[in-house]
Amino acid sequence: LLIILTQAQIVEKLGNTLADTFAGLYEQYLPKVYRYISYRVTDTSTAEDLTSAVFEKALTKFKTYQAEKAQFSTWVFTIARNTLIDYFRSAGKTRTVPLEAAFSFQSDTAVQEENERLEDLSLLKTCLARLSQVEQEIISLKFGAEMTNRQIAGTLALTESNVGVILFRAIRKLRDDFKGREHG
Amino acid sequence: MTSRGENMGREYEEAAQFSENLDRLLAGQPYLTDDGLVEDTRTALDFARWMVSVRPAPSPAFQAGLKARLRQKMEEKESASRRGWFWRFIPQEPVWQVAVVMVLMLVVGGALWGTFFRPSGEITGVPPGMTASAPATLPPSTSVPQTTVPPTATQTPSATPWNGLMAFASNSKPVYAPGENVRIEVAFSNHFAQPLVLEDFPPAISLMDASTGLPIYTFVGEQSDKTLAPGETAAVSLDWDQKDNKGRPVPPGKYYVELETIESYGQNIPLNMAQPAVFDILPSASGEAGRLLEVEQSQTVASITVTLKQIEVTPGGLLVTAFITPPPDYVLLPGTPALQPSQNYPAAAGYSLDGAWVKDAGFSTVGYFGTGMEHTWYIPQALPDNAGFLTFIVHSVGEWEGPWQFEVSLDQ
Repeated sequence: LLIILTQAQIVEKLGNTLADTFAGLYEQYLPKVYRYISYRVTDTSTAEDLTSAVFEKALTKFKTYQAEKAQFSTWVFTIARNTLIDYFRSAGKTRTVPLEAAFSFQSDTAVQEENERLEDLSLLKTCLARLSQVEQEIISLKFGAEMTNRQIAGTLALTESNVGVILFRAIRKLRDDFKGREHG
Repeated sequence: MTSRGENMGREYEEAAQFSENLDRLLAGQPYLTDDGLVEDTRTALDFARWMVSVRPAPSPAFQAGLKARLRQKMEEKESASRRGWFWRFIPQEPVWQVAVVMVLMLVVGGALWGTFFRPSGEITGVPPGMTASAPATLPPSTSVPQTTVPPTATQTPSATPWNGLMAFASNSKPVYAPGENVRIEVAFSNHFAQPLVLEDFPPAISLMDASTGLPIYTFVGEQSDKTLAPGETAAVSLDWDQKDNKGRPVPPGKYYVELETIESYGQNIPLNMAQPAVFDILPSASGEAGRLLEVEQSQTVASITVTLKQIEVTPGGLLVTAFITPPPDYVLLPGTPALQPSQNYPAAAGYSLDGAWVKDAGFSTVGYFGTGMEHTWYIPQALPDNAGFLTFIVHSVGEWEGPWQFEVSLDQ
Protein backbone atom coordinates (compact mmCIF):
# COMPACT_ATOMS: atom_id res chain seq x y z
CA LEU A 1 0.00 0.00 0.00
CA LEU A 2 1.52 3.25 -1.10
CA ILE A 3 0.45 6.22 0.93
CA ILE A 4 1.50 9.58 -0.40
CA LEU A 5 1.60 12.33 2.15
CA THR A 6 2.04 15.98 1.45
CA GLN A 7 4.79 17.85 3.26
CA ALA A 8 2.14 19.44 5.44
CA GLN A 9 0.85 16.03 6.54
CA ILE A 10 4.37 14.74 7.26
CA VAL A 11 5.11 17.81 9.33
CA GLU A 12 1.87 17.37 11.24
CA LYS A 13 2.77 13.77 12.07
CA LEU A 14 6.27 14.71 13.21
CA GLY A 15 4.98 17.48 15.41
CA ASN A 16 7.25 20.09 13.86
CA THR A 17 5.97 23.26 12.31
CA LEU A 18 6.16 23.84 8.58
CA ALA A 19 8.36 26.81 9.36
CA ASP A 20 10.93 24.63 11.18
CA THR A 21 11.06 22.08 8.39
CA PHE A 22 11.30 24.66 5.63
CA ALA A 23 13.96 26.61 7.55
CA GLY A 24 16.13 23.47 7.80
CA LEU A 25 15.85 22.81 4.08
CA TYR A 26 16.52 26.48 3.35
CA GLU A 27 19.81 26.36 5.28
CA GLN A 28 20.85 23.23 3.40
CA TYR A 29 19.90 24.25 -0.12
CA LEU A 30 20.35 28.03 -0.28
CA PRO A 31 24.09 27.88 -1.15
CA LYS A 32 23.51 25.23 -3.82
CA VAL A 33 20.62 27.05 -5.47
CA TYR A 34 22.52 30.35 -5.34
CA ARG A 35 25.63 28.78 -6.90
CA TYR A 36 23.58 27.02 -9.59
CA ILE A 37 21.96 30.32 -10.59
CA SER A 38 25.22 32.27 -10.31
CA TYR A 39 26.80 30.10 -13.00
CA ARG A 40 24.04 31.10 -15.42
CA VAL A 41 23.70 34.87 -14.86
CA THR A 42 26.20 37.66 -15.06
CA ASP A 43 25.80 39.70 -11.89
CA THR A 44 25.37 39.13 -8.17
CA SER A 45 22.19 41.14 -7.75
CA THR A 46 20.38 39.12 -10.44
CA ALA A 47 21.58 35.89 -8.81
CA GLU A 48 20.24 37.11 -5.45
CA ASP A 49 16.88 38.20 -6.94
CA LEU A 50 16.38 34.88 -8.72
CA THR A 51 17.45 32.87 -5.66
CA SER A 52 14.93 34.81 -3.56
CA ALA A 53 12.25 34.11 -6.15
CA VAL A 54 13.04 30.38 -6.08
CA PHE A 55 12.68 30.12 -2.29
CA GLU A 56 9.57 32.29 -2.20
CA LYS A 57 7.93 30.03 -4.81
CA ALA A 58 9.13 26.97 -2.90
CA LEU A 59 7.61 28.33 0.32
CA THR A 60 4.31 29.09 -1.39
CA LYS A 61 4.08 25.57 -2.81
CA PHE A 62 5.72 23.77 0.12
CA LYS A 63 2.45 22.45 1.53
CA THR A 64 1.89 20.40 -1.60
CA TYR A 65 5.44 19.03 -1.92
CA GLN A 66 5.34 15.22 -1.66
CA ALA A 67 8.56 13.74 -0.35
CA GLU A 68 7.62 10.29 -1.63
CA LYS A 69 7.31 11.51 -5.20
CA ALA A 70 10.58 13.43 -5.47
CA GLN A 71 13.55 14.36 -3.34
CA PHE A 72 13.51 17.93 -2.10
CA SER A 73 16.62 18.66 -4.18
CA THR A 74 14.87 17.50 -7.38
CA TRP A 75 11.81 19.56 -6.49
CA VAL A 76 13.64 22.77 -5.61
CA PHE A 77 15.98 22.58 -8.61
CA THR A 78 12.99 22.11 -10.90
CA ILE A 79 11.68 25.40 -9.52
CA ALA A 80 15.13 26.95 -9.96
CA ARG A 81 15.45 25.77 -13.59
CA ASN A 82 11.97 27.06 -14.45
CA THR A 83 12.73 30.36 -12.75
CA LEU A 84 15.88 30.76 -14.84
CA ILE A 85 14.04 29.81 -18.04
CA ASP A 86 11.32 32.36 -17.29
CA TYR A 87 13.98 34.98 -16.53
CA PHE A 88 15.80 34.44 -19.82
CA ARG A 89 12.57 34.34 -21.77
CA SER A 90 10.87 37.33 -20.19
CA ALA A 91 13.93 39.53 -20.33
CA GLY A 92 14.93 38.31 -23.79
CA LYS A 93 18.39 37.82 -22.37
CA THR A 94 21.13 35.57 -23.64
CA ARG A 95 23.53 33.80 -21.35
CA THR A 96 26.60 35.38 -22.87
CA VAL A 97 28.97 37.41 -20.76
CA PRO A 98 30.57 40.44 -22.34
CA LEU A 99 34.32 40.06 -22.60
CA GLU A 100 34.99 43.35 -20.85
CA ALA A 101 33.15 42.02 -17.79
CA ALA A 102 36.15 39.82 -17.16
CA PHE A 103 38.43 42.79 -16.73
CA SER A 104 36.20 45.24 -14.95
CA PHE A 105 37.73 45.00 -11.52
CA GLN A 106 40.14 47.53 -10.06
CA SER A 107 43.48 46.21 -8.86
CA ASP A 108 44.30 49.03 -6.48
CA THR A 109 41.69 48.26 -3.84
CA ALA A 110 42.32 46.95 -0.37
CA VAL A 111 40.78 43.60 -1.16
CA GLN A 112 43.22 42.54 -3.82
CA GLU A 113 42.84 38.81 -3.18
CA GLU A 114 39.06 38.89 -3.36
CA ASN A 115 39.25 40.96 -6.52
CA GLU A 116 41.52 38.38 -8.09
CA ARG A 117 39.05 35.63 -7.18
CA LEU A 118 36.21 37.63 -8.69
CA GLU A 119 38.30 38.34 -11.78
CA ASP A 120 38.99 34.62 -12.19
CA LEU A 121 35.33 33.81 -11.65
CA SER A 122 34.28 36.40 -14.21
CA LEU A 123 36.77 35.06 -16.76
CA LEU A 124 35.49 31.57 -16.01
CA LYS A 125 31.93 32.72 -16.69
CA THR A 126 33.07 34.20 -19.99
CA CYS A 127 34.51 30.82 -20.96
CA LEU A 128 31.39 29.05 -19.66
CA ALA A 129 29.18 31.18 -21.89
CA ARG A 130 31.05 29.83 -24.92
CA LEU A 131 29.98 26.27 -24.13
CA SER A 132 26.74 24.75 -25.44
CA GLN A 133 23.57 25.08 -23.37
CA VAL A 134 23.73 21.42 -22.35
CA GLU A 135 27.35 21.74 -21.24
CA GLN A 136 26.56 24.91 -19.25
CA GLU A 137 23.57 23.25 -17.63
CA ILE A 138 25.57 20.16 -16.65
CA ILE A 139 28.39 22.23 -15.17
CA SER A 140 25.91 24.38 -13.20
CA LEU A 141 24.15 21.30 -11.86
CA LYS A 142 27.45 19.61 -10.97
CA PHE A 143 29.39 22.50 -9.44
CA GLY A 144 26.41 24.53 -8.25
CA ALA A 145 23.86 21.96 -7.17
CA GLU A 146 26.45 19.22 -6.47
CA MET A 147 24.26 16.64 -8.20
CA THR A 148 25.56 13.21 -9.11
CA ASN A 149 25.74 12.30 -12.80
CA ARG A 150 22.72 10.05 -12.29
CA GLN A 151 20.67 12.93 -10.85
CA ILE A 152 21.76 15.21 -13.72
CA ALA A 153 20.87 12.50 -16.24
CA GLY A 154 17.40 12.27 -14.71
CA THR A 155 16.98 16.03 -14.79
CA LEU A 156 18.12 16.49 -18.40
CA ALA A 157 16.77 13.23 -19.88
CA LEU A 158 20.23 12.01 -20.86
CA THR A 159 22.00 8.77 -20.03
CA GLU A 160 24.38 8.76 -17.06
CA SER A 161 27.36 7.86 -19.25
CA ASN A 162 26.54 10.67 -21.68
CA VAL A 163 26.47 13.14 -18.80
CA GLY A 164 29.92 11.90 -17.71
CA VAL A 165 31.42 12.30 -21.18
CA ILE A 166 29.82 15.70 -21.82
CA LEU A 167 31.04 16.91 -18.41
CA PHE A 168 34.56 15.61 -19.02
CA ARG A 169 34.74 17.23 -22.46
CA ALA A 170 33.28 20.48 -21.17
CA ILE A 171 35.83 20.79 -18.36
CA ARG A 172 38.69 20.15 -20.76
CA LYS A 173 37.31 22.79 -23.15
CA LEU A 174 36.95 25.21 -20.25
CA ARG A 175 40.46 24.48 -19.02
CA ASP A 176 42.00 25.09 -22.44
CA ASP A 177 39.90 28.21 -23.13
CA PHE A 178 40.62 29.66 -19.69
CA LYS A 179 44.37 29.04 -19.90
CA GLY A 180 44.46 30.49 -23.42
CA ARG A 181 42.68 33.66 -22.34
CA GLU A 182 44.67 33.98 -19.13
CA HIS A 183 47.95 33.90 -21.00
CA GLY A 184 46.62 35.51 -24.18
CA MET B 1 46.78 2.61 -35.06
CA THR B 2 43.88 2.55 -32.63
CA SER B 3 40.29 2.24 -33.82
CA ARG B 4 37.60 4.77 -33.23
CA GLY B 5 35.82 2.33 -30.89
CA GLU B 6 38.96 1.95 -28.75
CA ASN B 7 39.38 5.72 -28.54
CA MET B 8 35.78 6.15 -27.48
CA GLY B 9 36.08 3.35 -24.96
CA ARG B 10 39.13 5.03 -23.46
CA GLU B 11 37.36 8.38 -23.31
CA TYR B 12 34.39 6.79 -21.53
CA GLU B 13 36.77 5.18 -19.04
CA GLU B 14 38.58 8.48 -18.44
CA ALA B 15 35.25 10.30 -18.13
CA ALA B 16 34.11 7.77 -15.52
CA GLN B 17 37.39 8.20 -13.57
CA PHE B 18 37.03 11.96 -13.83
CA SER B 19 33.42 11.94 -12.59
CA GLU B 20 34.20 9.64 -9.69
CA ASN B 21 37.09 11.84 -8.58
CA LEU B 22 35.10 15.04 -9.10
CA ASP B 23 32.33 13.72 -6.82
CA ARG B 24 35.01 12.98 -4.18
CA LEU B 25 36.42 16.46 -4.68
CA LEU B 26 33.01 18.05 -4.14
CA ALA B 27 32.63 15.94 -0.99
CA GLY B 28 36.01 17.24 0.27
CA GLN B 29 37.84 13.93 -0.23
CA PRO B 30 41.19 13.25 -1.99
CA TYR B 31 41.44 11.76 -5.50
CA LEU B 32 40.75 8.04 -5.60
CA THR B 33 43.25 6.84 -8.24
CA ASP B 34 45.84 9.58 -8.35
CA ASP B 35 48.61 7.39 -9.80
CA GLY B 36 46.49 5.82 -12.52
CA LEU B 37 45.28 9.09 -14.05
CA VAL B 38 46.52 10.14 -17.46
CA GLU B 39 47.92 13.67 -17.69
CA ASP B 40 44.88 15.07 -19.51
CA THR B 41 42.49 13.76 -16.86
CA ARG B 42 44.72 14.93 -14.02
CA THR B 43 44.96 18.48 -15.37
CA ALA B 44 41.19 18.49 -15.97
CA LEU B 45 40.70 17.46 -12.35
CA ASP B 46 43.14 20.11 -11.16
CA PHE B 47 41.15 22.68 -13.10
CA ALA B 48 37.92 21.32 -11.58
CA ARG B 49 39.49 21.62 -8.12
CA TRP B 50 40.33 25.24 -8.85
CA MET B 51 36.73 25.79 -10.09
CA VAL B 52 35.47 24.43 -6.78
CA SER B 53 37.74 26.85 -4.90
CA VAL B 54 36.37 29.93 -6.70
CA ARG B 55 32.70 28.93 -6.60
CA PRO B 56 30.38 31.84 -5.88
CA ALA B 57 28.77 31.93 -2.45
CA PRO B 58 25.81 33.94 -1.16
CA SER B 59 26.83 36.84 1.04
CA PRO B 60 25.92 36.57 4.76
CA ALA B 61 23.82 39.75 4.48
CA PHE B 62 21.78 38.30 1.62
CA GLN B 63 21.32 34.97 3.44
CA ALA B 64 20.17 36.67 6.63
CA GLY B 65 17.84 39.06 4.80
CA LEU B 66 16.14 36.35 2.77
CA LYS B 67 15.87 34.09 5.80
CA ALA B 68 14.15 36.82 7.82
CA ARG B 69 11.76 37.56 4.96
CA LEU B 70 10.86 33.89 4.49
CA ARG B 71 10.44 33.31 8.21
CA GLN B 72 8.04 36.24 8.45
CA LYS B 73 5.98 34.81 5.58
CA MET B 74 5.96 31.36 7.17
CA GLU B 75 4.81 32.73 10.48
CA GLU B 76 2.04 34.70 8.80
CA LYS B 77 0.87 31.56 7.02
CA GLU B 78 0.93 29.44 10.17
CA SER B 79 -0.76 32.12 12.21
CA ALA B 80 -3.49 32.37 9.56
CA SER B 81 -4.03 28.61 9.53
CA ARG B 82 -4.27 28.52 13.36
CA ARG B 83 -6.96 31.21 13.24
CA GLY B 84 -9.19 29.10 10.97
CA TRP B 85 -10.05 29.64 7.37
CA PHE B 86 -12.51 32.43 7.99
CA TRP B 87 -10.71 34.54 10.59
CA ARG B 88 -7.40 34.43 8.76
CA PHE B 89 -8.77 37.05 6.38
CA ILE B 90 -9.94 39.40 9.08
CA PRO B 91 -7.51 41.82 10.74
CA GLN B 92 -6.84 40.81 14.33
CA GLU B 93 -7.93 44.10 15.93
CA PRO B 94 -11.21 43.69 17.98
CA VAL B 95 -12.87 46.63 16.22
CA TRP B 96 -12.57 44.82 12.86
CA GLN B 97 -13.86 41.58 14.30
CA VAL B 98 -16.95 43.29 15.80
CA ALA B 99 -17.58 44.98 12.46
CA VAL B 100 -17.33 41.66 10.64
CA VAL B 101 -19.81 39.99 13.03
CA MET B 102 -22.30 42.83 12.44
CA VAL B 103 -21.93 42.57 8.67
CA LEU B 104 -22.41 38.81 8.88
CA MET B 105 -25.62 39.24 10.87
CA LEU B 106 -26.94 41.58 8.20
CA VAL B 107 -26.01 39.15 5.43
CA VAL B 108 -27.63 36.18 7.19
CA GLY B 109 -30.76 38.24 7.89
CA GLY B 110 -30.93 39.27 4.25
CA ALA B 111 -30.51 35.67 3.10
CA LEU B 112 -33.30 34.47 5.38
CA TRP B 113 -35.55 37.25 4.10
CA GLY B 114 -34.79 36.25 0.52
CA THR B 115 -35.43 32.55 1.23
CA PHE B 116 -38.78 32.88 2.96
CA PHE B 117 -40.27 36.02 1.47
CA ARG B 118 -38.96 36.25 -2.12
CA PRO B 119 -41.56 36.29 -4.93
CA SER B 120 -42.05 33.16 -7.08
CA GLY B 121 -41.08 32.84 -10.79
CA GLU B 122 -37.28 33.07 -10.47
CA ILE B 123 -34.89 30.97 -12.53
CA THR B 124 -34.79 27.48 -11.08
CA GLY B 125 -31.78 25.23 -10.71
CA VAL B 126 -29.42 28.04 -9.76
CA PRO B 127 -28.05 27.85 -6.23
CA PRO B 128 -28.61 30.84 -3.93
CA GLY B 129 -26.28 33.65 -4.84
CA MET B 130 -25.28 32.24 -8.20
CA THR B 131 -25.77 34.56 -11.12
CA ALA B 132 -27.88 33.24 -13.96
CA SER B 133 -25.54 34.21 -16.77
CA ALA B 134 -21.83 33.98 -17.36
CA PRO B 135 -19.82 37.13 -16.66
CA ALA B 136 -19.98 39.54 -19.56
CA THR B 137 -16.22 39.93 -19.63
CA LEU B 138 -15.63 36.39 -20.84
CA PRO B 139 -15.08 35.83 -24.54
CA PRO B 140 -17.74 33.81 -26.39
CA SER B 141 -15.43 30.91 -27.23
CA THR B 142 -14.74 29.98 -23.61
CA SER B 143 -15.49 26.53 -22.34
CA VAL B 144 -16.95 25.53 -18.99
CA PRO B 145 -14.92 22.99 -17.06
CA GLN B 146 -16.34 20.34 -14.76
CA THR B 147 -15.19 21.85 -11.50
CA THR B 148 -16.46 20.94 -8.08
CA VAL B 149 -16.01 22.76 -4.82
CA PRO B 150 -16.57 21.18 -1.42
CA PRO B 151 -19.80 22.51 0.05
CA THR B 152 -19.43 24.94 2.90
CA ALA B 153 -21.78 25.43 5.81
CA THR B 154 -23.91 28.06 4.08
CA GLN B 155 -24.45 26.15 0.84
CA THR B 156 -27.60 24.27 0.04
CA PRO B 157 -26.83 20.61 -0.68
CA SER B 158 -27.76 19.68 -4.25
CA ALA B 159 -28.60 16.33 -5.81
CA THR B 160 -26.37 17.15 -8.78
CA PRO B 161 -22.93 18.71 -8.30
CA TRP B 162 -22.88 22.31 -9.37
CA ASN B 163 -19.99 24.56 -10.12
CA GLY B 164 -19.23 27.24 -7.64
CA LEU B 165 -15.88 28.16 -9.13
CA MET B 166 -15.79 28.28 -12.90
CA ALA B 167 -12.63 28.40 -14.96
CA PHE B 168 -12.65 29.45 -18.60
CA ALA B 169 -9.71 29.41 -20.99
CA SER B 170 -9.60 30.76 -24.48
CA ASN B 171 -7.07 31.57 -27.15
CA SER B 172 -7.21 34.58 -29.41
CA LYS B 173 -7.66 32.51 -32.61
CA PRO B 174 -7.78 28.86 -33.66
CA VAL B 175 -4.63 28.76 -35.81
CA TYR B 176 -1.28 30.51 -35.57
CA ALA B 177 1.64 30.91 -37.92
CA PRO B 178 4.99 29.63 -36.63
CA GLY B 179 6.55 32.08 -34.19
CA GLU B 180 3.36 34.11 -33.89
CA ASN B 181 2.41 35.24 -30.39
CA VAL B 182 -0.34 33.11 -28.85
CA ARG B 183 -2.52 35.10 -26.46
CA ILE B 184 -4.30 32.99 -23.86
CA GLU B 185 -6.92 34.27 -21.45
CA VAL B 186 -7.89 32.32 -18.37
CA ALA B 187 -10.76 33.58 -16.22
CA PHE B 188 -11.95 32.31 -12.85
CA SER B 189 -15.35 33.35 -11.58
CA ASN B 190 -16.96 32.78 -8.20
CA HIS B 191 -20.57 31.63 -8.36
CA PHE B 192 -20.84 30.96 -4.64
CA ALA B 193 -22.95 33.17 -2.42
CA GLN B 194 -19.92 34.08 -0.32
CA PRO B 195 -16.39 35.24 -0.99
CA LEU B 196 -14.04 32.50 -2.16
CA VAL B 197 -10.38 32.48 -1.27
CA LEU B 198 -8.10 30.95 -3.88
CA GLU B 199 -4.68 30.02 -2.54
CA ASP B 200 -1.54 30.32 -4.68
CA PHE B 201 -3.37 32.24 -7.37
CA PRO B 202 -3.03 32.14 -10.34
CA PRO B 203 -2.42 28.40 -10.69
CA ALA B 204 0.27 27.09 -13.02
CA ILE B 205 -1.02 27.02 -16.60
CA SER B 206 0.45 24.51 -19.02
CA LEU B 207 0.50 24.40 -22.79
CA MET B 208 0.04 20.76 -23.70
CA ASP B 209 1.18 18.99 -26.86
CA ALA B 210 -1.95 17.16 -28.03
CA SER B 211 0.09 14.48 -29.81
CA THR B 212 1.79 13.36 -26.59
CA GLY B 213 -0.47 14.73 -23.84
CA LEU B 214 2.65 16.17 -22.18
CA PRO B 215 3.20 19.76 -21.07
CA ILE B 216 5.49 21.63 -23.41
CA TYR B 217 5.59 24.93 -21.56
CA THR B 218 4.34 25.87 -18.11
CA PHE B 219 3.62 29.39 -16.96
CA VAL B 220 4.16 29.97 -13.25
CA GLY B 221 3.63 33.57 -12.27
CA GLU B 222 3.93 35.32 -8.94
CA GLN B 223 1.38 33.61 -6.72
CA SER B 224 -0.54 34.88 -3.76
CA ASP B 225 -3.91 34.35 -2.10
CA LYS B 226 -6.79 35.89 -4.03
CA THR B 227 -10.27 36.57 -2.69
CA LEU B 228 -13.11 36.56 -5.20
CA ALA B 229 -16.35 38.26 -4.14
CA PRO B 230 -19.61 36.54 -5.17
CA GLY B 231 -20.03 36.93 -8.93
CA GLU B 232 -16.54 38.37 -9.32
CA THR B 233 -14.22 37.22 -12.12
CA ALA B 234 -10.44 37.32 -12.09
CA ALA B 235 -8.72 36.98 -15.44
CA VAL B 236 -5.14 36.16 -16.35
CA SER B 237 -3.62 36.95 -19.75
CA LEU B 238 -0.59 35.12 -21.06
CA ASP B 239 1.54 35.59 -24.13
CA TRP B 240 3.29 32.50 -25.44
CA ASP B 241 6.04 32.83 -28.04
CA GLN B 242 5.70 29.19 -29.16
CA LYS B 243 8.85 28.07 -27.37
CA ASP B 244 9.12 25.12 -25.04
CA ASN B 245 10.49 25.04 -21.50
CA LYS B 246 14.01 24.88 -22.92
CA GLY B 247 13.51 27.94 -25.11
CA ARG B 248 13.23 26.01 -28.38
CA PRO B 249 10.48 26.66 -30.92
CA VAL B 250 7.79 23.98 -30.74
CA PRO B 251 6.90 21.98 -33.84
CA PRO B 252 3.69 22.56 -35.80
CA GLY B 253 0.70 20.71 -34.39
CA LYS B 254 -2.24 20.84 -32.03
CA TYR B 255 -1.90 22.30 -28.54
CA TYR B 256 -4.27 22.88 -25.67
CA VAL B 257 -4.36 24.63 -22.31
CA GLU B 258 -4.43 22.82 -19.00
CA LEU B 259 -4.66 24.26 -15.52
CA GLU B 260 -2.98 22.97 -12.41
CA THR B 261 -5.04 22.24 -9.34
CA ILE B 262 -5.92 25.26 -7.26
CA GLU B 263 -6.51 25.28 -3.51
CA SER B 264 -9.30 26.91 -1.58
CA TYR B 265 -9.55 26.64 2.18
CA GLY B 266 -6.81 24.00 2.11
CA GLN B 267 -8.74 21.74 -0.31
CA ASN B 268 -7.62 20.93 -3.83
CA ILE B 269 -9.96 21.96 -6.61
CA PRO B 270 -9.12 20.31 -9.93
CA LEU B 271 -9.50 22.70 -12.83
CA ASN B 272 -9.56 20.29 -15.73
CA MET B 273 -11.14 21.68 -18.83
CA ALA B 274 -14.04 19.61 -20.14
CA GLN B 275 -13.59 21.27 -23.51
CA PRO B 276 -10.00 22.52 -23.44
CA ALA B 277 -8.97 25.60 -25.34
CA VAL B 278 -7.38 24.07 -28.41
CA PHE B 279 -5.39 25.69 -31.19
CA ASP B 280 -3.09 24.72 -34.05
CA ILE B 281 0.35 25.93 -34.99
CA LEU B 282 0.72 25.69 -38.73
CA PRO B 283 3.78 24.36 -40.50
CA SER B 284 5.95 27.14 -41.81
CA ALA B 285 4.87 28.21 -45.26
CA SER B 286 6.70 30.50 -47.57
CA GLY B 287 5.69 33.82 -46.20
CA GLU B 288 5.17 35.71 -43.04
CA ALA B 289 7.21 33.88 -40.47
CA GLY B 290 10.31 33.10 -42.50
CA ARG B 291 11.51 30.99 -45.40
CA LEU B 292 12.23 27.36 -45.93
CA LEU B 293 15.36 26.16 -47.68
CA GLU B 294 15.06 22.64 -49.08
CA VAL B 295 18.53 21.09 -48.94
CA GLU B 296 18.56 17.28 -49.38
CA GLN B 297 22.32 16.78 -49.08
CA SER B 298 23.70 13.50 -47.74
CA GLN B 299 27.03 12.52 -46.19
CA THR B 300 28.03 9.04 -45.04
CA VAL B 301 30.68 8.54 -42.37
CA ALA B 302 31.17 5.37 -40.32
CA SER B 303 28.28 3.77 -42.24
CA ILE B 304 25.87 6.38 -40.90
CA THR B 305 24.21 8.62 -43.47
CA VAL B 306 23.15 12.09 -42.41
CA THR B 307 20.78 13.84 -44.83
CA LEU B 308 20.38 17.53 -44.26
CA LYS B 309 16.73 17.96 -45.22
CA GLN B 310 15.85 21.59 -44.71
CA ILE B 311 16.73 24.85 -43.01
CA GLU B 312 13.97 27.06 -41.78
CA VAL B 313 15.02 30.69 -41.54
CA THR B 314 12.88 32.52 -38.99
CA PRO B 315 13.28 36.03 -37.57
CA GLY B 316 14.56 34.51 -34.30
CA GLY B 317 17.04 32.03 -35.74
CA LEU B 318 17.53 28.90 -37.79
CA LEU B 319 15.92 25.49 -37.50
CA VAL B 320 18.08 22.84 -39.13
CA THR B 321 16.51 19.44 -39.75
CA ALA B 322 18.37 16.27 -40.73
CA PHE B 323 17.43 12.64 -41.13
CA ILE B 324 19.97 10.13 -39.86
CA THR B 325 20.05 6.44 -40.79
CA PRO B 326 20.17 3.99 -37.88
CA PRO B 327 23.64 3.59 -36.33
CA PRO B 328 24.78 -0.05 -35.96
CA ASP B 329 23.70 -0.12 -32.29
CA TYR B 330 20.24 1.39 -32.96
CA VAL B 331 17.60 -0.80 -31.32
CA LEU B 332 13.99 0.26 -30.79
CA LEU B 333 12.40 -0.95 -27.59
CA PRO B 334 9.37 -3.16 -28.18
CA GLY B 335 6.02 -2.47 -26.58
CA THR B 336 6.32 1.27 -26.08
CA PRO B 337 3.53 3.43 -27.54
CA ALA B 338 5.97 6.05 -28.81
CA LEU B 339 9.05 4.72 -30.59
CA GLN B 340 11.90 4.70 -28.11
CA PRO B 341 15.42 3.41 -28.73
CA SER B 342 17.44 1.44 -26.18
CA GLN B 343 19.78 4.42 -25.80
CA ASN B 344 19.72 8.13 -26.58
CA TYR B 345 21.40 9.58 -29.67
CA PRO B 346 22.00 13.27 -28.98
CA ALA B 347 23.81 14.86 -31.90
CA ALA B 348 26.25 17.73 -31.34
CA ALA B 349 26.68 20.19 -34.20
CA GLY B 350 28.40 23.44 -35.16
CA TYR B 351 27.87 26.01 -37.88
CA SER B 352 29.52 28.95 -39.54
CA LEU B 353 28.39 31.65 -41.92
CA ASP B 354 30.47 32.51 -45.00
CA GLY B 355 33.49 30.59 -43.70
CA ALA B 356 33.79 32.50 -40.41
CA TRP B 357 34.56 30.89 -37.05
CA VAL B 358 32.61 27.74 -36.28
CA LYS B 359 30.06 28.33 -33.54
CA ASP B 360 28.31 25.78 -31.38
CA ALA B 361 24.82 24.75 -32.52
CA GLY B 362 24.32 22.64 -29.39
CA PHE B 363 22.48 19.34 -29.27
CA SER B 364 19.48 18.35 -31.36
CA THR B 365 15.98 17.36 -30.39
CA VAL B 366 15.26 13.91 -31.76
CA GLY B 367 12.29 12.02 -33.14
CA TYR B 368 12.82 8.27 -33.48
CA PHE B 369 11.42 6.19 -36.33
CA GLY B 370 11.81 2.64 -37.54
CA THR B 371 13.92 3.81 -40.47
CA GLY B 372 16.11 6.24 -38.50
CA MET B 373 15.98 9.50 -36.59
CA GLU B 374 14.94 13.05 -37.35
CA HIS B 375 17.18 15.58 -35.60
CA THR B 376 16.44 19.29 -35.30
CA TRP B 377 18.87 21.94 -34.12
CA TYR B 378 17.78 25.42 -33.15
CA ILE B 379 20.35 28.17 -33.68
CA PRO B 380 19.16 31.32 -31.90
CA GLN B 381 20.91 33.70 -34.28
CA ALA B 382 19.09 35.88 -36.78
CA LEU B 383 20.52 35.37 -40.26
CA PRO B 384 22.27 38.50 -41.58
CA ASP B 385 20.76 39.80 -44.84
CA ASN B 386 24.04 39.46 -46.70
CA ALA B 387 24.85 35.89 -45.57
CA GLY B 388 25.89 33.82 -48.60
CA PHE B 389 26.34 30.26 -47.36
CA LEU B 390 26.03 28.21 -44.23
CA THR B 391 28.43 25.45 -43.23
CA PHE B 392 26.75 22.97 -40.94
CA ILE B 393 28.77 20.27 -39.22
CA VAL B 394 27.32 17.35 -37.26
CA HIS B 395 30.18 16.40 -34.92
CA SER B 396 28.71 13.25 -33.40
CA VAL B 397 25.56 11.13 -33.27
CA GLY B 398 25.28 9.48 -29.87
CA GLU B 399 28.62 7.79 -29.38
CA TRP B 400 29.46 7.83 -33.10
CA GLU B 401 31.95 10.43 -34.23
CA GLY B 402 31.69 12.30 -37.57
CA PRO B 403 32.04 14.85 -38.82
CA TRP B 404 29.26 15.07 -41.41
CA GLN B 405 29.73 18.43 -43.08
CA PHE B 406 27.40 20.37 -45.41
CA GLU B 407 27.57 23.62 -47.29
CA VAL B 408 24.26 25.28 -48.09
CA SER B 409 23.72 28.29 -50.29
CA LEU B 410 21.46 30.83 -48.59
CA ASP B 411 20.57 32.59 -51.82
CA GLN B 412 17.65 30.24 -52.64
